[in-house]
Amino acid sequence: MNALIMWGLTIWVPILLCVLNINEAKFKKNLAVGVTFPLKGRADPEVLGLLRGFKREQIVLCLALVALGVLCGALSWPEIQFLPYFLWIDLVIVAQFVSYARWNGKLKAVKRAKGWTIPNLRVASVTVPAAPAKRPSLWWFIAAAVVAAVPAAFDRDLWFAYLLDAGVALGCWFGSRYLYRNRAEAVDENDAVTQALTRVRRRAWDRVWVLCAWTMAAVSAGIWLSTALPATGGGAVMLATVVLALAVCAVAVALEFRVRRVQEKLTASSGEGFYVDEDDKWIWGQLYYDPNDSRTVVNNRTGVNSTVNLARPGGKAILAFSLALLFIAMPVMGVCFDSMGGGPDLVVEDGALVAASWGKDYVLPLEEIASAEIVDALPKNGVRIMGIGLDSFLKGQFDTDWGRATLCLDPRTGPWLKVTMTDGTLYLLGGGESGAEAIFAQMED
Amino acid sequence: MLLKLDFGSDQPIYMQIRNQIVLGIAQGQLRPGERLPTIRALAEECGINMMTASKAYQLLRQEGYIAADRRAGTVVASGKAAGPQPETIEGLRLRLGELRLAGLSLDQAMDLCRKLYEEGTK
Repeated sequence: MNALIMWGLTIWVPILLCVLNINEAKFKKNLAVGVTFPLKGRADPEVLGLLRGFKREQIVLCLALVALGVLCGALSWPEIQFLPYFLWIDLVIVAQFVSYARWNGKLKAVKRAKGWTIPNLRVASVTVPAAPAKRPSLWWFIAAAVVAAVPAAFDRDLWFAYLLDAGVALGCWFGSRYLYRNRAEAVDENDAVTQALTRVRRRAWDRVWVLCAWTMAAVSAGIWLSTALPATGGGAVMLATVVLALAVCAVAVALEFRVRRVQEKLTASSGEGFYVDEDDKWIWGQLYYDPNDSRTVVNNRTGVNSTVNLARPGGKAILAFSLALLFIAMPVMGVCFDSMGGGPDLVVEDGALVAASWGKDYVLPLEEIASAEIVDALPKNGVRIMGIGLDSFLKGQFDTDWGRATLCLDPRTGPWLKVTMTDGTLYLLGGGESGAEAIFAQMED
Repeated sequence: MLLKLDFGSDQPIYMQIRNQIVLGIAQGQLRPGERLPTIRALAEECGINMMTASKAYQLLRQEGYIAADRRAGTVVASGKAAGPQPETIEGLRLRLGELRLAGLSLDQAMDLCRKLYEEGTK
């Protein structure tokens, strides 16, 4: 079930990337697939032919990747669910990247052959940065952080989660300020167009961050409600939180396309006389490398997003971290998750019952245990509040029909150990090959 | 107005900024009293060190092309310059010499000078 949800939540990623890439083939800011063309280049049959080829390849690639994802999700091998999933995500990213780079190279070759390359100059506006820019007030973010933090006063068990949400909401202010390069969006010598492009991008960027901050506030409220309401109602609130997250993604994507549309419209007649050409600084049209640029964070050429300058040490570090995360950490995580079944290691040692598994071990001193029993069935309804919720392994805090419980178990096969502490805390442990019955006998001795 | 900086050029970046702002003022792209970016904003815009941007502004201020305004920050100076600097006359002498060596007569050189001068008064 978890695997199906997992695939269901990400199967649209290749489609989104495909739509974004196809949009890259439309001329905006004199660019198509990361290559700058003069106005006459937009009507060149060779260029247009290549752009059609690029779009066709994106569609074929997208269909192939979605089909592969659906196939993997449908097969859903019980023992290896996560490794194929993470490898598929890596494949989606690499395939789209390579395809883009390939067509970028072809278009650059045409541009060179037709003599449309102009000298490598850094272009900067004097008039646009002189005009004061209106940025969103810090109070928008503080208010979101306060709303996110309020539940911590009422639900002490999860104070960390609420404060984390509040911290992220506040961090959105730093994101809006410091992950954006305050640079004029110059495409040619037309100051009015430069000003309009800069304003549109800056506003969209600020809106995304304000939206993120308030999403964190909503998520925090969602967690609180899910714990405050009974288990079934809690599930509904969690579902509502997921829907909210998807809605936020949809709004962000819509904003990206809106900005792209405006960029396309405003620069429809640009590219005559002098125009800005920074192609030499963009490797494969996607990676920015300019040793003469002192900035680490730079704006993407189209849309709203930011990227890094790989010529700066910070940029190199961020790229290395991202690559390590994608191509080392994710597959390793897949292997780890797939090997989590079989239940925790249960032992009685030094006068305590210890449930050892991934991450934190649960140590329950025997003298603090009020009652313990072996159960052959788990509570029917359970909503995860915090922790791991895999088909083969549950760990952390859950709201169940039996009340709030801390779980560390393999839910597929019992029996399990139900332990109630003297302070009323409930633990459900064991399952799989953990030998809960033997441990229970040992505790009775 | 756009600055076009060539990082491969022998001319230092601060001098390129200075020269292009002077040309921008002369050609009317920057009007007297018009606000210029702060040093920090100019450095961010150009992707250069703040010291470089500061050096360009310092030079422009010394030469009287820009001025500090209490409310607006740095603005294009409104007063007329007292006259050409000795370095400007020396530079002009050199360029006119180059034109003569390039085979231009006095009339041709004057026509060219008039054309370039008028570009700044349009």
